[in-house]
Parts: sequence; C-alpha cells; structure tokens
Amino acid sequence: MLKVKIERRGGLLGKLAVGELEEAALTPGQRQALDKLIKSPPKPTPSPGADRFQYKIRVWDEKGEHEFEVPEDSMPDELAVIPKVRL
Amino acid sequence: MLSSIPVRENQPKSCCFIIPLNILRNYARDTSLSSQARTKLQETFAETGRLRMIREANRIASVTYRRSVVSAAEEAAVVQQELFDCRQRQSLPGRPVHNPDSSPNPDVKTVYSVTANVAEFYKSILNRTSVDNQGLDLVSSVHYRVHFDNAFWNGQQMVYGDGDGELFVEFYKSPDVIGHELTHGVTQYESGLQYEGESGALNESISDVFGAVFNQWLNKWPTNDAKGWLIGAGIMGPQARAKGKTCLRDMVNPSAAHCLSPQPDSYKNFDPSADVHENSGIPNKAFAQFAQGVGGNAWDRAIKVWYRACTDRRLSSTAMFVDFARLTIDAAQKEGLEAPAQAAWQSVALPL
Repeated sequence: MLKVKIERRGGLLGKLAVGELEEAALTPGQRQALDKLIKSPPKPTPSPGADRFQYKIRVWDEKGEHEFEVPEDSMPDELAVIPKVRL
Repeated sequence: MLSSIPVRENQPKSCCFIIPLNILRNYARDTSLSSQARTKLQETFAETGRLRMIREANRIASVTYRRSVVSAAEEAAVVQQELFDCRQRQSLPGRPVHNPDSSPNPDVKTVYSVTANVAEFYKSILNRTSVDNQGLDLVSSVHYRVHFDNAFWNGQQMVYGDGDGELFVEFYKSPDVIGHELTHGVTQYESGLQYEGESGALNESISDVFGAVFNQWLNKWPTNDAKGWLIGAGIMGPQARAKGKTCLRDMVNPSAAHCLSPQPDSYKNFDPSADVHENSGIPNKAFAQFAQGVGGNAWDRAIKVWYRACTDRRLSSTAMFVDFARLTIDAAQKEGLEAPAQAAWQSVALPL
C-alpha cells in the first residue's frame, strides 16, 4: 500500500501547502508521474529566479520510505495540484 | 538563488538555429505527420523560441551603455515588450502573441498594458529604463501550466499562472503583483540580493515596496489609503475571501488576520528558518511607516529614497537588514527626511 505526502514551500505567497494521498486516491496519471520521480528523482537545486515553488515529496511503499526535493520546473502538473494551503 | 551579476552573464552569448521558427511551427501543425513527430516538433519550436529570446536578451545586455552618447530619441524610447501564451503548458516562453496591445483577449491586454504602466512608472518616477536600466525588452508569459497558483520571475522573464479559481484567480489581476515580479528583475541587475536569510527577505520586501507604490501611483492613492498597502488584493479567490482573507500581505499591518500569509512586524520576531516572504514583513512595515511619516504620495519622495538605497553600490548581495536600513537613512538624509527614516526602522525594533 502506497502513501504520498507533498509539501510545497515558497512561491509569491510563501506559505506552506501540504497534501497527502493514499494509493487508492491517486489518479493513473499521478501514479505514473510519481513512479517516474521515484525511479529518477530530479536534482534538488531550486528553480532560478524569485518566487519559485520548491516541493518535498515523501513516499511510503513496500520498499520503505523515499524522500526527495523537487524544484518547481521539474514538478509534474499531476502532482503539483496535491498540496493545498490551509486557511 | 539570485546571483550578484545578471544571470545572462552565465549563459551562452550567441547561438544559431538551422531551421526557421515558422517552418518548425508549420510542421508541428501538419496533420499528415504522426502525433509523436508533431509533439517533438512543437517541443523543438518552443525550445528554439526560448533560446532565441535568451540570445536577444544577451545581445541587448552586452551592449555597452554610455549615457553620454545616448541620444534624446533613445532616452525617450518606450520599453518594448514580448508576450507569450503558454496555453496551460509548462514550456516557456510559450506561443508568441502578436500585437498584444491590440489583442481582443482581455488577459493579454491587461498584462501588456499594466507591464507598460510599470515601465512608465520606473521611467517617469525613478528615471530607470527597464529592468536593466538599458532598455531590455520585457518578456511575459500568461496561462502558465494548469490551475497554477503562482507568479514568478525566472531570471529572464515574468510568468503568470491562472490560479485554481478557488484560493486564487489569475495572478496578473493585481497590478502590484506585476510590479513585484518586474522589480525582482531590477534587483537582479542591481544588488543581486541573495535569496535566503535577511538578504532574501530584503529582496522580497523591495519587490513588495515597488509593487505597492506602483499600484498607488497607478490608482492615485495617497499614503493614508489602506488599499495601497495590500499585496495581491486582486488575486484573492472566492474561497479566500469567504474566510476573510483580503490580501497576501498588508505592509502597514503585516500580522493582520486578513492576510493569507501573516508576517512578523518586528525584528524581535525575525525567524531565521522562515521563508523569505515571511521575514519581508519587517522591512515592508518600515517602508510603510516611512512613507506615511513623509506623507503625501509615496511616489513623490519616499520611494525615491528607497530606490537610491536599492541602487547604491554599497548594497551587497549578502546585505543584512541593518545594512539596508543605514543606506535608506543615508539617502533620506540627503532629502531632509532622516527623522522619519530613523523612526521607521525604530518602529520595527531594528537595532541600528
């Protein structure tokens, strides 16, 4: 059983956004994008410029726990929508 | 992290393209080709466009600027713009929008006209020509990615998302946001304040300050009008408004509950581990206090003092709050405004 937690920091807002999904709630596109990132995590170097997002992804699966940083330019749209700002 | 010298210095100064852009675009639309081939052609088209933009930016940036020989006609020249539509995709800069000034698309027209207003603000109030003060074309891309809750400066251009429609609407709908992003370009070409710690918070504050004063200038709001000190009031979506959140930040009252992202308003509460957008509340409040202490319109006197500090060669890329504060007091002294400048930094408990 897989579980994913995504934290987003930075951006023009600069406020933490968090999202957590169980395997059953992931769309096929999200699962595919996640597998691709786990297989080949991008370099964690922040995207250039200012007001950029930086993501931290934590995945729990049968192989254990994976954690990696993903800069905005390398974050797939399917996963970028998961973290939400708490009001 | 922003470097202390223009980013373009580290990028290729020239590059050539064997296939013209229009040929790439035409083939990308040719339905007799496979979808895979068309996708590849479209990606090549997008990347070639991006590289051309960088090449042009480098060309302009490499021109030696000699104020003494700049003709009156060049001085008066309007800063040129290039506008692109990402059509919800991630490739930058996106598809070029021709004649954006007369576009029937209201999104394009807004970004074009407000960006032109920012350039005019910088020219008429601060005598600055574009982000590099050498007339560099201003490049903007709209409709970036899907439901994208952000706007940013990527070292070369401004980029605007459409928002998710709930928390945020389109990010170009607040004029101060456009001013904020363009000012990141100005900072990149001036002090190059590093994007972390106190220098990062100063970098963010400078963008908020110039974005807010641009908005005040555009709307003719004096310093005692509370609307003029809100950052991002025009991009708040229905969900945020329903919760009483009327802005991202409030420069007069950084810790207010109506801010989506409340900030510390005193140096005593500076958090070294916080995001640069949080600690920026401290210098934000100092500027708002200074401008209100000076009175009248912030664009008449107060912003000129801050601009002098931002462009002072003594402002290093690793400057701390106190370094910047001393430069603002120094600049204020020349204008006979030392007392409100001192009072402004005292109001945020910054030891000078």
